[in-house]
Amino acid sequence: MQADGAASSPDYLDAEALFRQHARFVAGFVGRLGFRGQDVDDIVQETFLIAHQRGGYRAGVARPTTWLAEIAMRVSMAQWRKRRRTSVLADTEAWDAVPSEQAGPQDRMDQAQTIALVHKALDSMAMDRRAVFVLFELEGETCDAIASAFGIPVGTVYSRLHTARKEFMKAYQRLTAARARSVPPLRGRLEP
Amino acid sequence: MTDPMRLLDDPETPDALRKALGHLASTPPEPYDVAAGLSRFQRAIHAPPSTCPGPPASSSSLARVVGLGAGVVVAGVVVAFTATRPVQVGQPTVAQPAISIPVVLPDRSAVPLVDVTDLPELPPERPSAGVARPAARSSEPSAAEELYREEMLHLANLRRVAGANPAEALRLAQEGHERFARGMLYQEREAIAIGALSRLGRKGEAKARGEQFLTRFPRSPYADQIRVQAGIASH
Repeated sequence: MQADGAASSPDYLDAEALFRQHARFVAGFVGRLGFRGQDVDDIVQETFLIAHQRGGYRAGVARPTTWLAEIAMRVSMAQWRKRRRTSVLADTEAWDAVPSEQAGPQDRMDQAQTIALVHKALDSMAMDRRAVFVLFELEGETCDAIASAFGIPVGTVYSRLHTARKEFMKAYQRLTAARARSVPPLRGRLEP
Repeated sequence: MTDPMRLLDDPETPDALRKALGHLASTPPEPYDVAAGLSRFQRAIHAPPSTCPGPPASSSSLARVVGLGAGVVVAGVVVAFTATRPVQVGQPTVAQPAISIPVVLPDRSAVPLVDVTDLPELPPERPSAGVARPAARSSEPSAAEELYREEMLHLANLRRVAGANPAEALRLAQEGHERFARGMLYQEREAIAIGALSRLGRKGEAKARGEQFLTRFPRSPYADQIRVQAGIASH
């Protein structure tokens, strides 16, 4: 959907046009950073208010999505410091997130648990590295695009991504091991 | 230098993790109501301009924390943000009704110290040889933190003056709006300014500014107080 007139020209998007086109992206990005519910709504609002304060998006080195992601990350960092709490996806939410037609109960449970572990691993990471990880690994942004949006050298993005991956994998493996120790296999409980 | 292969495309990534990443990449964490969000956003940016500078309407939760920050000032505690307890605060003058303000003294780290637009750029990291370094955290307050402290002290003074001298409070509030144009305590100053106008008998101005305030910050923790002070009916 586009706003009218110059406000939606390819080189310029005012805040309302940005909202129409990219609010869902920002909400998804913020959700992947670990926020839920009202927090997502508040961060989305704050992000676009700042975009509005900055005069909207003008075509330049960054694309609208990564430009907004950079703002959203800063808002999220402020929100995160304020909250100092985790808001990872609960296992039950993860269960609901897995399409029921996709697999049987065992596979569905396994996947839901893995998704919950991924969220918990993400939650353990510093917000700036988490943002780079999410943008690259889940949003499919290139390192160049992230560097342009964040105003940092691409080498810094590589470095941050490298560290983020190490942190993520370490946390994921630790959580997986902990879960394996604490949760007996579902198979056998469901199947006669 | 080319981008590394994504984990979800990398055959060396464990299958379950690759599947989970693929699922997360293709599915939004939760549905977002764009129409409702846009409506809220439009209300915020199309609100009538205030006579005073200040930030645009902020989210309720952030505004609430700003309110809590002001509560810290009310309690006379500027730097010790460690305990959490309710405090009953009554206005010292007869012209205003006593207001019960729930004051929570949060953990210091939980208080946003700066407008996010003022946050410094992320410091560039030098490419490492794969060794994760813990982030160093300076104990020196940043310029933004200093500015926030100044703003809190200014508000503390404003609150002290407001009890006895509404005209001076009005002047101080305006000064604060100008001095801390991108600060965090705009709502607190404006609420005091509206109360001061009311007590000075400038009811029309109080009502106009009160209505502007409520349009911009409909979920402000000061909304009820302002409705009473400015004589604005509740919806």
